[in-house]
Amino acid sequence: MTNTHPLLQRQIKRYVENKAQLPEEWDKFLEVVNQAYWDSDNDRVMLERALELSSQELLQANSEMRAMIKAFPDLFLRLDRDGHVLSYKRGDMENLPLKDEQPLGKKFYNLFEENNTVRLKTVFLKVLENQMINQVEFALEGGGSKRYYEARIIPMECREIFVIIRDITERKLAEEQLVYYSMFDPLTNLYNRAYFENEMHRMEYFSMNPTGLIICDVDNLKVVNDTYGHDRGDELLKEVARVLRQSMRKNDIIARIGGDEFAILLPDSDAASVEATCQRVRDTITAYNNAGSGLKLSISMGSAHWKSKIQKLDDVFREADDNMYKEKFINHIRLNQDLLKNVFDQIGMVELNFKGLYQRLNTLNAQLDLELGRMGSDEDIKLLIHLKKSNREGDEVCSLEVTTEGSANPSEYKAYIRSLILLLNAALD
Amino acid sequence: MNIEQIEWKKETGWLSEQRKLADSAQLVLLFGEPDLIRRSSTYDEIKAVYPGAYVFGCSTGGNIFGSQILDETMVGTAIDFNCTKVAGAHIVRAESSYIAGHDLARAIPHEDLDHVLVLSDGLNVNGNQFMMGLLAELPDHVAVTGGLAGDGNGFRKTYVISNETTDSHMAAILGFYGRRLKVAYSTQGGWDAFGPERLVTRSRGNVLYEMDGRSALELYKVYLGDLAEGLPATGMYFPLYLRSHEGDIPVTRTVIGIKKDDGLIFGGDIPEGTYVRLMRANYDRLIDSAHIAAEKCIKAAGKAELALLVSCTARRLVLKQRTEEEVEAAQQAFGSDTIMTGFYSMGEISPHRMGCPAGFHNQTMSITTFTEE
Repeated sequence: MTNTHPLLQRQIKRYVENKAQLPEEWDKFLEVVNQAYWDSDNDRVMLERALELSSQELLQANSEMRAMIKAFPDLFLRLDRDGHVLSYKRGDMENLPLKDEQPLGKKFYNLFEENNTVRLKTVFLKVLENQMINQVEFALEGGGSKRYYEARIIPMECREIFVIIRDITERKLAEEQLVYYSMFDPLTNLYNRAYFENEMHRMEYFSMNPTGLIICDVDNLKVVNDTYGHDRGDELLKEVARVLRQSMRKNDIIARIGGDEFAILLPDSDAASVEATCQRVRDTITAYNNAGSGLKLSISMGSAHWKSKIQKLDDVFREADDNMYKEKFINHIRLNQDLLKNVFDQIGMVELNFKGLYQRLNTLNAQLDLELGRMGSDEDIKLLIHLKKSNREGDEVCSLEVTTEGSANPSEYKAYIRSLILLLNAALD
Repeated sequence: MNIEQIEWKKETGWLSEQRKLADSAQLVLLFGEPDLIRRSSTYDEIKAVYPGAYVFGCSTGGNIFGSQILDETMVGTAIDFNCTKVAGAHIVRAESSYIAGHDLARAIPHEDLDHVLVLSDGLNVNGNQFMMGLLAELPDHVAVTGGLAGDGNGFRKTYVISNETTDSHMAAILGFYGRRLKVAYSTQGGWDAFGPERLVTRSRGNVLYEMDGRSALELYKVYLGDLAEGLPATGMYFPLYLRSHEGDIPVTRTVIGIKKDDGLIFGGDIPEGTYVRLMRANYDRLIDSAHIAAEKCIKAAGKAELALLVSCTARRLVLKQRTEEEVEAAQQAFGSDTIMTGFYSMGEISPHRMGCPAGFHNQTMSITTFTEE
């Protein structure tokens, strides 16, 4: 037997002085015993080595984990399955307002303001039940300010629960701001165009009731901006927003949908109540202007009424928009009537009836293919007015044709026409 | 049920004190060393003794013959059922492990099928996929037990024999038919997980490459030290404890090979995203678990006339001279009336407990007992 195990050597020595004294038939037996001793040693060495290696790995993992926890500013809590705090690390959250400054042994969901207890407990129980990570956001008042926190609740292998509480105030405020900007116009605090369109389509899908739609456009905003500066222009827009808010019901959707353009959705409104709302706006503007507290307000308004699902709300919008432009046109002519009267006098128009003029222009609205270049015949002199009109798809130029009576010198007419075009363009811009 | 056992030794050939079942045996379970199982004469020799028997067996990492473990031998257990019938089938070089299981399950009649025993090549099979294929086709009430053929510590070639066909890339199925056959089964481990839990970050099927972004093969080499030279066999010292999700029944997976690209091949799938821990043998619990598995079978069936023990080669590797203790522990639990046969395998197939679907295991002692009422 080669390489006798030391233990076997000692055991043999204890009973016989010389190994040679042992009977020869014992050799096989001793060989097996010897092998068992060596096997046992080797196994022990291998297992001890494995345990040592794994112990080193665990130590390394432990130290990495500690470093990581130390690096984070969050509050870490280790809980038992009843929610009691077993250990914690406050990180940089010394100012986190806890009901109890000594959290050890307390239930984690009772550590904060009472209005958060139920939510935190509900999520904690859900984590216990599903064994899945979950999170909950909550707000705490402290030091005169409100701060937001996120609690991440993580089930651990050892049937314990790990909670990370993170201050998310900055993120939350940024998110709130993003949500605000996605819905509101920051100047007037009214809804913005995207929100309005979304609401319009939502209503189209879900509402069965008649809905009114009003489009408003501030007259002369450009003049105010150019004359008094943009700050005054902004003030004017804010006043318009205030007037509209004052004239509408709580559930009406008021939005600023463009620079000087506003739109209002009036749920559950028939034609009469839409008209009544428009009148309320006019009355409020009149009252505002009479109070003489600032710049005079003038708004062009157009309304339309959505009666059934057969109609598309986009078409109703277009109808209200058209109606607004009609009013705007008349308003602008009215605002500049002295100037216009002069022009019309010069071109020989005896009757200065704005309604009649508007109706005539409207009748001729269909003749859009006519261009200024087609003029020139002595027998058929035509007065063209270029009306620049914004619509939802972009700028569009409508050509409105006015026929004059009698013959005249074409070159003179052209001069008059040019004057009129320039005047109306300026008024409508 | 009448049972008798025969043994083949190099010096003497087939030995048997009694061959009373020569004319009546319907089944011979045959286990032996790979070189003996693959001999062309083996089947003829068995048929010469038991002409009416279906020969079903595989190569092993040690043959269980009563409460002894024998090497360099073949052991046969001839069974003469009173009223149970058997039907077998096999598949050679299947396209995939799943297809092997699937096609085997379809190859035997399902009517009156009571239990299924399966044996498969141990080195070229994905045990999980094989089981999935089997279970997809077999009736729900039919339990499956069996194992993967062994090859000592060689990890070269394993063989399955199903009547006259013997092959190294083969799987075989044996169906048991009859209402009076009572089959019980149990599987027990006896290994302890230790050290950190590691996330499987790169794997493909049953080939593991990385855990926590670190080479799995390198990790095994570090843990095995000098024994790393004996890989893949010595990989069995440290099986993996695998869990998918919290609450899932964890499974044990054993190294069965190394790929050329340094991937470690395991007996079953090691999916990415699962968590694993190394395991180490707990000597006392290894032996106790054999006793517990036997006790559970007795509890389920009342008694056991024949016990088929399928124990993992890794247990033998670890228990060494003490290996027979686990077989003795099982015999002690059964009593001397139960005849035991079986083998040391590359993987065990058994439901976790009675009534559950079968699963693929490593490092366990899985016992199936047969009794006719």
